[in-house]
Amino acid sequence: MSVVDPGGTGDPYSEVDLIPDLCRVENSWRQILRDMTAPAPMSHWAAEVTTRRIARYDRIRPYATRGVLLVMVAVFLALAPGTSCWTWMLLLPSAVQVVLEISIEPFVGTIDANGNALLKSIAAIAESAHAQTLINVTGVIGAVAVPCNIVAVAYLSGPGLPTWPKVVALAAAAAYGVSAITSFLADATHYSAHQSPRRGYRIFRAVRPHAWLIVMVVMTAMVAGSIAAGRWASEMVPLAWALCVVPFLIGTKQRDYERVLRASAEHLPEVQAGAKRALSKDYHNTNTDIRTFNRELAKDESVPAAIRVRAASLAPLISLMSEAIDHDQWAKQQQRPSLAGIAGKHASDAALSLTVDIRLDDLQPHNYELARTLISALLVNVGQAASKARQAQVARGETPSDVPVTVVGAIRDGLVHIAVRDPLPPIIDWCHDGSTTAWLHADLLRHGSQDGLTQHVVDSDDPSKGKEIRASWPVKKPPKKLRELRR
Amino acid sequence: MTDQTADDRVYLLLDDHGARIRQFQEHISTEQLTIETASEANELAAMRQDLEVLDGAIVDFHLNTPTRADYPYLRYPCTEADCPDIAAAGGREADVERAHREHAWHTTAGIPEVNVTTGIGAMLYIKQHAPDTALYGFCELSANHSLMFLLAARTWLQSSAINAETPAEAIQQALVSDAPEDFLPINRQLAQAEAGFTQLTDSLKFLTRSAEAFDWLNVYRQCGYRGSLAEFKNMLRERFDVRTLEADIYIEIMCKWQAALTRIMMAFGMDTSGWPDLRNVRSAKHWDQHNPVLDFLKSHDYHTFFTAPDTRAALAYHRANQLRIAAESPLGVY
Repeated sequence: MSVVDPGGTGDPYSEVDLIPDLCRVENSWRQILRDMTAPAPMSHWAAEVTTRRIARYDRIRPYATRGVLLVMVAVFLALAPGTSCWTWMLLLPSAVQVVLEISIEPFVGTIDANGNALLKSIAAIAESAHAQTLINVTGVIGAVAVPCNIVAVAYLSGPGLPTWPKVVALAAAAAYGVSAITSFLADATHYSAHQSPRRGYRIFRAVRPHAWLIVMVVMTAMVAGSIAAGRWASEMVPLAWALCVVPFLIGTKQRDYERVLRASAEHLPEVQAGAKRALSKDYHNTNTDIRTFNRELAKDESVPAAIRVRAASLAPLISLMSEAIDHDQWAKQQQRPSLAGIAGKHASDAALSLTVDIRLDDLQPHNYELARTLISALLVNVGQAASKARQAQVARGETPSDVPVTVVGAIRDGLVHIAVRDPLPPIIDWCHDGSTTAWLHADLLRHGSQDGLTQHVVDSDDPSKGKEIRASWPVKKPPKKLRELRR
Repeated sequence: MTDQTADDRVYLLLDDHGARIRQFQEHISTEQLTIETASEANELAAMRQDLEVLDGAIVDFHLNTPTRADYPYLRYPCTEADCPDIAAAGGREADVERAHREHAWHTTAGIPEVNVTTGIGAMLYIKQHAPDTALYGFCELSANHSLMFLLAARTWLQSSAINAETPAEAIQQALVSDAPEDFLPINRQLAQAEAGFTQLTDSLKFLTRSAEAFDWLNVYRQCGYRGSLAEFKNMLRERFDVRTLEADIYIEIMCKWQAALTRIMMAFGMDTSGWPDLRNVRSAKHWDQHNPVLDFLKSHDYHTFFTAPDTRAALAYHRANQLRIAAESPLGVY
């Protein structure tokens, strides 16, 4: 069972396919098997990291390594008995590969006027292979060079004395093969999210995790043939067999690298979230004055109701930028602060005990703004009334009581319904001139509401049970009749 | 309802920001200047028969259109028969015929049918139903994210622009005047940037093969952060079956793109210092360390512009319209 699989997330902040399939399973033992068969983590992240690894850290290191290994092969073959001119001929492809790889490195991606035309052509092929194909000139030479090295050592030297140089030469030739094949398998092409979808590539992608096994079988067959042909001193045969496991290193190196890529990709969303969290905190801290000012404005009776209502609805937005940290949730709520979050912020500002049941995620922008305005203005009013009630309780020497408030929002019968219930007494001068409730009432009527803003006693027999303020308006605005404006 | 006279103006504001709608209703609208409002593009469908009565449509580009599958998107081009039905509203026969011909042209000009998610798609829809209605892109210029939309609307749809940061009185004065652009300085900046935008969108005309720079820019946007020639070539081949892209051609394209973006950004006073010098480019690796073209394309500010299907439809409209104008002119394409 997959534990985490965020591959291919469409996060516009990070682009599609930034993060690869993580290929993790719960069971630790099964994880070993999963690793052995895991495909290359194809994604922008893996391709970019690999490109930088090759261009900025590997540079000519793998070529130089192979050069040193080739020299070792040659030196120990020279020390080994039975080495013929055919032995040296078989090392030529490796020599050509190493020299070409080092020579063309400065030309890749350039069109400098100066330079050898042949090298420039080979460099152009290498450049076009990057992230595109699996074949280039030096790669093809390498495909010939690696088996040639093994054949040269296994068949065209020995089995006389001294016996040990042939074993060391085989170890060096095997290491050369590991280096060359690993370079090929860990190239950026294999991690590119844009690799060709053609059949040949798809087949290779499936085979790639097992490439080390294929190489191991081929090398074992070659060594077995040379042992059968009597090319090894008998005491060196066990060592020759032992060296056949060297290609296992190809798989190990490949899996190690890909685990690092996946682990770093798993950490990446946490880094992104951390950065967003820090930005959200900075945004909140920078704009605290604006938030405070809006809260004060919302309660200032000397300010026109329209501005108080607007100030109330703006005040919590600054704190709610934190909702944008979770990208999926932010997208789900249409990249705007949630109504539940807005209600929660107002409740915490006024120390109200809030219960929220708002099911209005899909509101159109104008309905969302109206809902936000209503919830904000009504909760600011409840907060002010609750504050006065608490002050009266304190003045009477009583302990201030909890003020439970319920906010409900839903769409029913083509209408948006919002209700705010609190345990405080009904408002006596309901919707008086200049009040925010009067402004909200008029605004609701402008939006096609039948009744505007209404106040209801929860239990007419027991006023202490508080009140509920309700609003409803049509989801769809009535169609515009533009032509009538011209008549 | 206000009775309108011939000198009175009726505008439609399409904007998802309630605060800006309120600003228009409370501070810009007057007895002589009626501002009708809509907050979603799909509201235009119900108005399509009447759009021609508008003096202008003021359209925000980023409409925050929902992405859920069951959302009732506005579709452009409109394929309704006998649309717009201005005969029912008492239109003259010649006007009806002209309106139907224009409407039908949009459906047959090879413009892809798209869900309208941005203001530029809404502008196209208005243009299909009311070709004489003036269009105004509406945005806050200091927020860069509408820059490309503004230029595309101006260059491709002959739209003007209104900066939302302009004082309400100036906007009001512009909307009742005969030459609104004179009161809206943003249009002078857009005029300066227009050459750069045209250079960008027509940057591949030098190629022998037919290629649309917008599409290639969109492909390039998806390259890794190094934006290598090889990766670009690979994606061009996958997307457009482009078999080859020589390094010198790539360099020429990159130079054109960078120069065009420089001109656009300088027109808006944006910083381009530190961008690679184009006077001595010898290698496709010239942009390996700093690739301003890719930085620009990958910027979240312009993500919607390059990915919204409406933008591509607007370009298709522009290209088809260029051909139509050339076909109708005795000078042809010359």
